[in-house]
Amino acid sequence: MIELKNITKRYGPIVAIESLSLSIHEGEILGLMGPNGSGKTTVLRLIALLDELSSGLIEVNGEQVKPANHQRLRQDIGFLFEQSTVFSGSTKDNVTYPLSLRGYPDSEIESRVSNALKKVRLTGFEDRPANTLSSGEAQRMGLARILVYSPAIFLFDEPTANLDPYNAGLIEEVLNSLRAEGKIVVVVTHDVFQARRLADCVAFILMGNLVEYGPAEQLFQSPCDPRTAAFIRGEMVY
Amino acid sequence: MKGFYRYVYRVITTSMSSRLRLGIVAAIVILTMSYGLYVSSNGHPNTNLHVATGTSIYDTGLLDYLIPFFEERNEEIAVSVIPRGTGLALEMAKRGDADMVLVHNRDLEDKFVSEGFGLYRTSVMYNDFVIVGPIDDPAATHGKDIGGILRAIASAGKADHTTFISRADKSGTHLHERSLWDQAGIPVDGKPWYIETAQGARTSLLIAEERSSYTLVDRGTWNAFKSGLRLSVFGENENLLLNPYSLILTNPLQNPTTNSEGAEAFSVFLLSERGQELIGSFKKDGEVLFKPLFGKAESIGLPPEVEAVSFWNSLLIKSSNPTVGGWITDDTPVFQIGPWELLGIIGISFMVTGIATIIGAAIGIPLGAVMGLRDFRGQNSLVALVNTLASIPPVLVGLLLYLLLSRQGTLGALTLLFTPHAMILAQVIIITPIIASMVYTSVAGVNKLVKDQIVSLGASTRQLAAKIVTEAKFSIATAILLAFGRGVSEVGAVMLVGGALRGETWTLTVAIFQSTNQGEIGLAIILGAILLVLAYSINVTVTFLRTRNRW
Repeated sequence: MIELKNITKRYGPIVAIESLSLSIHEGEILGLMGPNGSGKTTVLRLIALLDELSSGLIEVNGEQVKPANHQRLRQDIGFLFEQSTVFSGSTKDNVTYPLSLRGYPDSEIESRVSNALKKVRLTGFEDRPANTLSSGEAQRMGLARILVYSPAIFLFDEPTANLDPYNAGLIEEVLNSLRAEGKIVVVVTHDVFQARRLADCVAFILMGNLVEYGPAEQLFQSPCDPRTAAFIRGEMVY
Repeated sequence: MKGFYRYVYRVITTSMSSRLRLGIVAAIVILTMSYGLYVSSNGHPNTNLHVATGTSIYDTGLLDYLIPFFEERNEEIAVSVIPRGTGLALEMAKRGDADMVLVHNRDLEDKFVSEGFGLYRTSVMYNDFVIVGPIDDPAATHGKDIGGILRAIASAGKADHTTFISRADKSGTHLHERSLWDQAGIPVDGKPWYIETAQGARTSLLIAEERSSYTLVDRGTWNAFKSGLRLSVFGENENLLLNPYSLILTNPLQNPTTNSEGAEAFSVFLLSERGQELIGSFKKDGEVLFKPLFGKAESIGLPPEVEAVSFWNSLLIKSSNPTVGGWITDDTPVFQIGPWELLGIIGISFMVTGIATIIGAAIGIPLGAVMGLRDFRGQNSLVALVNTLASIPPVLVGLLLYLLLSRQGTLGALTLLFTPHAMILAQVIIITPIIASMVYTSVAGVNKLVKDQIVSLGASTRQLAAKIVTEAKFSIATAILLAFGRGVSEVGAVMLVGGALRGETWTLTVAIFQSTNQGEIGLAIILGAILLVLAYSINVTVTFLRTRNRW
């Protein structure tokens, strides 16, 4: 379980996240929703330990996150960016990279890489130079690069924003299987329909504040806050 | 500091594939071995005899002709000729960087000796100066004496009909020319018709031809190069135009590292019957360029040199220099480079720049990577400093290094000046900041998002650095190649600290420079073509690497 307790993030005078608290549980997908610039991605980066908190605290399975344990805790986190960076070398080299960081033996690397590529349907792409992959294939390769070290926490930042329905569908399929495996999954999205399809719980964030949090069905059917309702209807919210 | 090196070592070891590491080790081993071989085959640089001379002597090829005869019987002494012009040659000897001089300006020679820098000045040979000018003689100097000729040139110059070319390089010829103007009472400084070239004798002749000007030249150089020039002689055969050449030993009391033994041996050779005959027999296009003068100064109206002559005669008797016949050729080839010498020149170019590039990469890559990857105090100042050094003119590096390595400089005790070691050092100073700057640019240019992705995959700070360096490997290879190209095509620094000693410190660029100076334009173009092919293949590789690079 991940607990965010009164977390605040400032960039100079700008307050990006203000005193936000949330709990995220195993086996459920949390959707982080909100308009552009609301602070969704900032929350995700804080959970991913890519940025430092200004105040408040984060606990992972009861252990408080500190700079000293960032590096160790990150080993169990997978972060899929909106666009996955393609490293030099083949698809296989790319997917192997996090395993070689962790010092896995060659025998285990072989099976893990082929399993991960199978899950994203890139079997047969092993020896393709990674820079020749299409953007959909590159994003699936990026997903395989995370699946390969089977972290407990999966963080997705607009994972399908640039993809066609086929590639987006493949990625959502993997997301659903992660829930079934009991992983912690957080998806940042501004796509109301995607959130509705995938999420068990939804947090609606506006200008760095948590406006509403609850089970997905309840939040979509009868939102408590008028701003949430407006966002779901596709209106401009401030 | 120790932590820094460990960090660098780890970044290097984790960022290279084993094949790449093997290749680099192999390259280092091969270059180090060739360097060792080179050093052992050339012996200690101190056995070299450094002779600083006026350019007019060197340009005619007289010394290239004489030295083999000397070295044939004195195998332990390798003579290196440093052509600098009389004024600079004496300056070099004052600094202790030449063991003897062969020069032609009596006033400077006497001053050099009376200040305690030189010993046993004596006349070796002579020819005379001639005033040459355009065949149609625009200043109407024909038939006048030397004073009349100079006045005619000055007044035609004022009327914009002609110009006078001055070497303006403190050479014996230049100083003699200045004293002629002084004696004629004609002020020349700042006059629009008085053109200062700061070039050697040969180049100044070419400029005079090109601009239809008059100039003063020694007869040796004139005879050697007059064919094909549209210039003719207007002033000659006057006492004022006599041009005696003298040798002077550098005083070893001024500098204990002076190679006095070698200098004495070479002087004895030049003054011996055989040496004097060889000088008198040296011809170009069938013309004798120098006449022997040892012991005969009075015969051309110079003051006698009783003391010096008796000193050298006593050495000559001791040395029992043999006289051998059958060595006089009709026409002495002046300047050419054989295929083996050419291979040697290319070899020295590659060795000097190759080793400098390896050292430069070993310092520059970690330096650039650290500047680009880490945040530390003074980072911006360091980056600015490295970028400044990357654009410093090589000739300035050469000058500073020359002053440091000169026998009286801070590092003079290393006796590195005029060796390939000094050239390598100069090129390391030139190449290292170029590599560091380019590595810095490619590493610091990596997007924050890309770094975040690497960190999010679980990379530690060190692993992040290694990954960025790995991903920048094509940029780094490009930096190394471009730095090598810069080094191999550089001439200013290697000429200054290498001294342009033929067979020792001639690189391709120095050879081009010297061939051009000697008027061997065809040879210079061939050498240039070799350099161009080399540069082209480097750039083809760079372009190929650029297409492979992603970030």
